Amino acid sequence: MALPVGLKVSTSLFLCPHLSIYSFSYLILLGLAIAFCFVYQLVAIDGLSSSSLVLFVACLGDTKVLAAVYGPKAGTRKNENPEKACIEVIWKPKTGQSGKLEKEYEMILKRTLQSICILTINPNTMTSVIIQVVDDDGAVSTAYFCHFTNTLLPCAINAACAALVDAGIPLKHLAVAICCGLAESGYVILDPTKLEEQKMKAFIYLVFPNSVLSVLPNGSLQKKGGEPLEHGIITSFTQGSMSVEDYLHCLERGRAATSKMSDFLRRSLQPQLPSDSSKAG
Amino acid sequence: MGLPNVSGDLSAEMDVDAFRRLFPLRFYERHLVESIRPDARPLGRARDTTLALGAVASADGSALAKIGLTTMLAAIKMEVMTPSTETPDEGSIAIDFHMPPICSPLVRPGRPAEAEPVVSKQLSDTILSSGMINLKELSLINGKAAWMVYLDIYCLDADGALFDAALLSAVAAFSHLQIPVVSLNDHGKVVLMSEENEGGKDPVNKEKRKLTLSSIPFSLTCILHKNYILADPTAEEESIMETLVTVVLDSSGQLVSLYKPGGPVLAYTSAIQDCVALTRQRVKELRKILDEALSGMEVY
Repeated sequence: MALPVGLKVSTSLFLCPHLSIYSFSYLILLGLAIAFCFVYQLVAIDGLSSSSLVLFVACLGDTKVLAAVYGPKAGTRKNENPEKACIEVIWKPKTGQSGKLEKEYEMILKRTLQSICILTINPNTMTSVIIQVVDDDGAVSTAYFCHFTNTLLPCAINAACAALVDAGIPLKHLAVAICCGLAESGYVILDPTKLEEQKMKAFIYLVFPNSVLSVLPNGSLQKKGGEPLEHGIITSFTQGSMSVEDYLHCLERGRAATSKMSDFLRRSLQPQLPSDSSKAG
Repeated sequence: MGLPNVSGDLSAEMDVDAFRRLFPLRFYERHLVESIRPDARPLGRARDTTLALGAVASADGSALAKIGLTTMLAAIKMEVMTPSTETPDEGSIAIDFHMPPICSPLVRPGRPAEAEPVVSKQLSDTILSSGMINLKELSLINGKAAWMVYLDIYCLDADGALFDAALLSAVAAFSHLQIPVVSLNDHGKVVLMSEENEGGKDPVNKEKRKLTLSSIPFSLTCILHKNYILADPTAEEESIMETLVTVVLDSSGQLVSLYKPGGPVLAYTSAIQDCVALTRQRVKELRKILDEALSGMEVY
C-alpha cells in the first residue's frame, strides 16, 4: 500500500503569552512545540456504507502517534445505547501487549471523544478510533510504576480529534489537549520534554473545547474573547500531589495555551475541508 | 429523552416506577429541582459508610468497606523478594482490582469488566503519587531482600462510586497491615518465621511491624449535571448522568488527583472548587470512620 503524502504541514508553534509575568529567565517555558507533521489520507474504503479510514499523525516533540478512524459502521456493541452512535477506541502501544495503562487511556479517550461528537446524528452505528503509538520518546512502563512520556495522552487526543474531523464525523467542537508539568517551586511548564519531566513533582493533563466557530466552514481566525464554553474542562487527569491552588493555576495556564492551539488546529484543518467531499459518498 | 413534552403530560397519570424507568432523566431532574435525590439524600451528602478491619484472617492486612451498597474487600499479602538493581533499598506494591460477576448484572462471567483495569490503574496511581507509603520502609536488607506487597481488592457489590470505596478499603487494609516477622536461615536467605521454627534465630524486623502512613488519601466522586453537583452517586445515577469528577485529597489537604474522564458536561472553575469543598468535608468524615475502626481494633 502506497502512502500518498497528501499534505505536509510541518509547523511549530511557540506560545509565550505570559512571558512578561515572570521575570526569572528560566521560570516559564511555554515552549509548546506542536508539529502536526503530516496528514496521510488514505482511500475511502466503501462507498456504500460511507466508511472512511483516516490516518493522522500528530507529533509532540519526539512523541508520535498515529490515529485512524473507521466508520460509522452499522450496529453497536452490547451494553451500548443503540439510540446513540458508539465510539470504540483501541490503543496500540509501540511494543508489547496492551495492559492496564492502555486500557485506562482507551477509556479516557473514549469518553473524551464521546463528549465532543454529536452522537444522535448516526444512531446505532459504531466508529472505531485506533491509536498506534509510533514513537513514545523512550517511555518505560513497568507493572508498578509508569515512567511513560507525559505527552503521549495529549498527543493521542489531539491526533484522534483531527482524524475525526478528517473522517467527517459530526462534532460539536474540537478538543484541545495539553500536559502541564508542575515543578517543586510552583512554576508551570507546558508539555515538558523528557529532560524537564524529571524535575516535575506533578503532571496535569487537561482537555478543553475550542469555540464552536471552528467547526463551521466559514470560521474565521478572530479572537473568541471570554466565551465560557472554552473555559470548561472536558477531561482532567493528574499524577503526583499538588495544592489546590497549584491546580487552579495550571488550569489558567492551560486555558491560555490551548486558545493558541485551537487557532493552530483550525488553521491546519481548514485546508482539509474541500477534500471531505471525496469521502462523503 | 427525545419527547420531553410527552413525559410531562403523562407524569400525572403514570405510575412512579413506570415513569422512573421510561424517563429516568426527567425523573431525576424533578427531584433535583427540589434539592433532593430519590434515595432521600440531599445532593451533597454521601451514603452511609462502614468499615471493618481484619475481615480476612489469612491475610496480613485486610478491610471491608461499604459505601451505601457498594462493598469492597481489600486484602494484603506480603512476600519477600529481591529488590531490583535500580532501587535496591525499596520494596514494591502490586495493586489489583477484581470485579467478579456477582458484583453487578453488567459483568458477565468469563469476560473481565471494562472498569477493572481502569480502577486498578487509578488506585495504584493514587496510592503511589500520594506518597502514603514510603517504599524504603519495605526494604529488609539493602539490595538483598525487600517486601513485595500484593494488594487485592474485590468488588462484592458495585453500586456506584467504585473508586471511592476501593480506595477506602485499600487505605484501611494498609493501616491494618501487620508485617510478618522474618529471619535469616542457615543459607543466608530471608524466610518467614513461623511459630515452630523460631529456634533461637533473631528476627530481622523485630521492632518494625507497622507501616507509617504519612498522608492518607481519601476520595469523593461527584456527578455534574447542569448546575447540580451530586456527591457519591449510585450505579443508577452514574448510568443516567454521565459526567463524573473524582477528587482525591490527602489528610494534609493536598490534591492527589482530580480525575474527570470526559462526559457531556464541562467542568468550570466554580464547579471544580465546589467538588473540592465537598471532598474536604468528606475527607473529615472518612478520617473519623477510619480512626474509629482502628481504635476499635486496639481494644482486642
